[in-house]
Amino acid sequence: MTTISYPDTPAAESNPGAFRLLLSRPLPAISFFLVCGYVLLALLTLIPAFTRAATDPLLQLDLPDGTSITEYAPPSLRNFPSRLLGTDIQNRSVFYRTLYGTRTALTITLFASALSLGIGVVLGVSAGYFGGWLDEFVTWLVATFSAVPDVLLLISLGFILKPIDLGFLGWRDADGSGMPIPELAVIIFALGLTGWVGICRLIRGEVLKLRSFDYVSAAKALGLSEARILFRHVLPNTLHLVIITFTLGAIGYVQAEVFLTFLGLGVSDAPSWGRMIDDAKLELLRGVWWQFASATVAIGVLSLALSLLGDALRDVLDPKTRSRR
Amino acid sequence: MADRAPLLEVKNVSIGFDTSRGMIVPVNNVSWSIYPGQTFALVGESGCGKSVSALSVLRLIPTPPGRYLQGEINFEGRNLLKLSESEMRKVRGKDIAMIFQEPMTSLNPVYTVGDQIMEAVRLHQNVSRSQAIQIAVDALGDVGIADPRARLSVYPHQMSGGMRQRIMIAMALACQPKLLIADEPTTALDVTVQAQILELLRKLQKERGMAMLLITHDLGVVAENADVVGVMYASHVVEYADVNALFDNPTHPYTQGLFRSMPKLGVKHERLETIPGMVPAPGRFPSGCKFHPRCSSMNGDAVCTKTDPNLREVAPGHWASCHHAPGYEIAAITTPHLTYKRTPLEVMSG
Amino acid sequence: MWAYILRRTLLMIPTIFGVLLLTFALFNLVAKDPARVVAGRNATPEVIEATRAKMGLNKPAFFNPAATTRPVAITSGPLAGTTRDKSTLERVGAFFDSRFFDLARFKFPNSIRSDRPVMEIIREKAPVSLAIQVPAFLISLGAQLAIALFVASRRGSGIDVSVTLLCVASLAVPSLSLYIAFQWLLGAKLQLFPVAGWETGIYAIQYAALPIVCAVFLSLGAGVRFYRTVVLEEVSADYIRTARAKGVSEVDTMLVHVLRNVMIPVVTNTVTALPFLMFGAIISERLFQIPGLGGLLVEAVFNQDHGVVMAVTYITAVFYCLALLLSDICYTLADPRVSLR
Repeated sequence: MTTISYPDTPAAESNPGAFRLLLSRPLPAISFFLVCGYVLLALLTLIPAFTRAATDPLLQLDLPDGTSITEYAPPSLRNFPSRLLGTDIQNRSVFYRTLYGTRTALTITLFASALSLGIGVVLGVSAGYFGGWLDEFVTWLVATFSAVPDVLLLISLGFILKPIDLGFLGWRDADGSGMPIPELAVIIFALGLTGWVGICRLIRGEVLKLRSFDYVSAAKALGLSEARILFRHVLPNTLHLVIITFTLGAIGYVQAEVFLTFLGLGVSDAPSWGRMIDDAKLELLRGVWWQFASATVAIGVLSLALSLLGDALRDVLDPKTRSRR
Repeated sequence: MADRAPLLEVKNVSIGFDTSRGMIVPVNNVSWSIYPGQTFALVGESGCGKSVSALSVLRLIPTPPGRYLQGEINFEGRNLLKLSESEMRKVRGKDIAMIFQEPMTSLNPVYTVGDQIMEAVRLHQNVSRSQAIQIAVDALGDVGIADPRARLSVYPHQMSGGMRQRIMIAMALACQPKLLIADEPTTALDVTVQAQILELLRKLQKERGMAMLLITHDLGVVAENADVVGVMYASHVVEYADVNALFDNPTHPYTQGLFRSMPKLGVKHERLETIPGMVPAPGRFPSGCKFHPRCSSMNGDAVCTKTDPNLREVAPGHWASCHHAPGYEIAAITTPHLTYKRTPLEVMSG
Repeated sequence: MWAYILRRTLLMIPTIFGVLLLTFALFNLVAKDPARVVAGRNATPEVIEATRAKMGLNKPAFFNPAATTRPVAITSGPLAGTTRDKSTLERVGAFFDSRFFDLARFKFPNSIRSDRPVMEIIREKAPVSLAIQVPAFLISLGAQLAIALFVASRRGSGIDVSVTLLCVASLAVPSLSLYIAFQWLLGAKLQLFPVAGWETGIYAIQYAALPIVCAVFLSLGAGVRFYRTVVLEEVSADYIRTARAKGVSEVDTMLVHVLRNVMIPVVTNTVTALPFLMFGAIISERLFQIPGLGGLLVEAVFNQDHGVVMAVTYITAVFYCLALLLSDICYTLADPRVSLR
């Protein structure tokens, strides 16, 4: 027998930028564009006409036999696109409500992430970099907050924040009593104050690691100030954790909105996916599936896209796997 | 002195791996034989394919990515590649046993030493639990572990590297295999422990008449322990000879380079010699003779860049695969197998 | 061994104290006065005071020096009807009679809705929740491990890929949607189980079935994904190669060698999941009208029932700290490599 000959496959040797690398494979690219699509839709809804379409009942339509539709119209192609996904109990367009839900979900995600990431990064960096009693304190705080299960902490915060009135800030209603706290603020604070723990731990760990790296010692030896080292050398190297946590955390925030609405702690005046699913729990038994399906699919697709995007980001941004490419 | 049949005969075996970048062939057309009681050493640097060859004997290569492309592996006349999985399992641990490089991670950390040895025993021998315990105790005693009965209930992490390797050996030898495959058994150990382990292996071999396939990258280990040597480079066996013949007359330029790079006592070295270049990775092998980019004996000959040489018997009992080896052009292409030679023990006992 | 336990317990104390502080701060300092919430927006100060007294909230926050000098009424014996001063021990007790220390000793304000001590209500409703959560947990653990072992041994195959996709998909959909869908499909459409309700005794089984089925299916996504990763890590370990070289069959390799190593994270996960078995089934109990602790919590949120929400949060957090301690100890027992130092 002879030696086997076979075509020698050439090694693919290239080193593109991280972003291009992310978009080079089909799945992450699709996920990225999907997420962008959601963001665009949310921005679209800033047009006032959208809000009206999502909150006002559709004009009653007269059917040929003289009756008119007032609720629960099934999906149809008439009056495109308002009736595309049917209507709900108040004859409001499910299609427009689903679109508007994007805005609610992304607003909550954006601000809650900002809050939790802000707190988490500040505490994590301080603890990791300065050490000492500050580190002890932050570690104790993290342990305390993690001891309370996320769900219960969320519920407790929502429960406590909801009845608060802002009279102490000097903001008063027309009748003189304090202005009640906006529902969105309740959700955002509750989520933000629950979600900071994870990123704080990650950042603290990363900063502790970075602190021992040679280039930090070199910077110190050169006489750079602490602040400069922090901002120019340490913080940028934790950015990848922030991006990944933001992407994957968004999934949790979108789904938490559903949960909070179920408990009565959600938004009641603006359309949201949580409200749609919550309303749907009685609708299904009557054979009305369209509101449930739209909201669930909207959330499902977004969560899936974010999940794939987050995994891909992790592959691309993690310094350990990056060197393997 | 009649020619005995070989215990293990590897004939023209090639193994391929399907990767996302196409198929790579880390073991290509290798052949060698081991006779009862003999030690065959497979030498080479990391990445030459010797570990894959060793794993392939026991069919421990994971077969979704791996594939046997051609060849036979005959053990006592039976082609192991044609056995069913359950028949193969009866061979593993019983007729052919294997020990690995990393004693630290090669033992299951959550079971005691005794449990793991007895698992091997009770898989292949129909004995009661108390008999199995006795066999395990004997096995530990054979490898030189003091107070073996007490050691049965000890966990692997509680022992040193050298002791763990002894336990691996005890576990491998508990069912009296005819062939032991030792994949770099001493590489992860301290130098003094290395010598002890190798001596232990030699002693056990003599006592039991066991053959051994020894995988190593250390020529010193080869000199002390091997009867027959195969030198591997980039998926091929490039030289194959009796150990004395190899050390007296290394024929292949790679083997020569290996010998030259070993520092010798008593000789003054200005600089240690190296073989220029790097070992190519599977999937990036050069065309023609795989050693040619690093070869100093090429003399600009084009045949080295175009044709991959085979192993040919360039001298009686000495195979080499190099176009420029003396006697290569006229040599016959035969599967290397050194005819049975009496082991030193047999010589001494007459 | 005991020194280890003692040391870990001591380390746990600051965390439990932190939990106490956090709960107290949230519910007593940050929260709007529950008496005002219950009494309504336009209540007069007298009504608010009365409500506060009724709820047991008229104690000071941290320390109660005023109570030390308050005389005690004598209710029996020859001096009945008069008062006497507090003994030293009583004075000390009175000093610490505050809302903070009430919380520390698990004494919560009564439930607004039923005006009963919260602990009593919890003790009553806990068995109902456990009757569903415990079987669900055990079944889902078994299912997750079995599927993970099966899928990991056929890595990369069609079934591995499809199972992984299913897991990812099930995590993308909000759990409320899945519950509603299951309730509709199995209860209303296929009529396999009653849609909601509860009965005590043996008849509870028919009402417990659907929540248990839902809980098991919902937990599969995350669990299979996690255990699959753990199993895959173990499967590629060197000692598995040794086992195969000894001639151990594939099945035994999985069940004897891999599983025993996988048990280590299983044990820690199981122990830390225990506290959630009581309070965790919030969505399920509300949808299926199960009178358990999850439902209690939801009702309390809707009714602004301060005491219940505070109690549930505090008790679960303390239990969770204890569970972490227990899982630490179990971990050292399960993994022989970990020494008790």
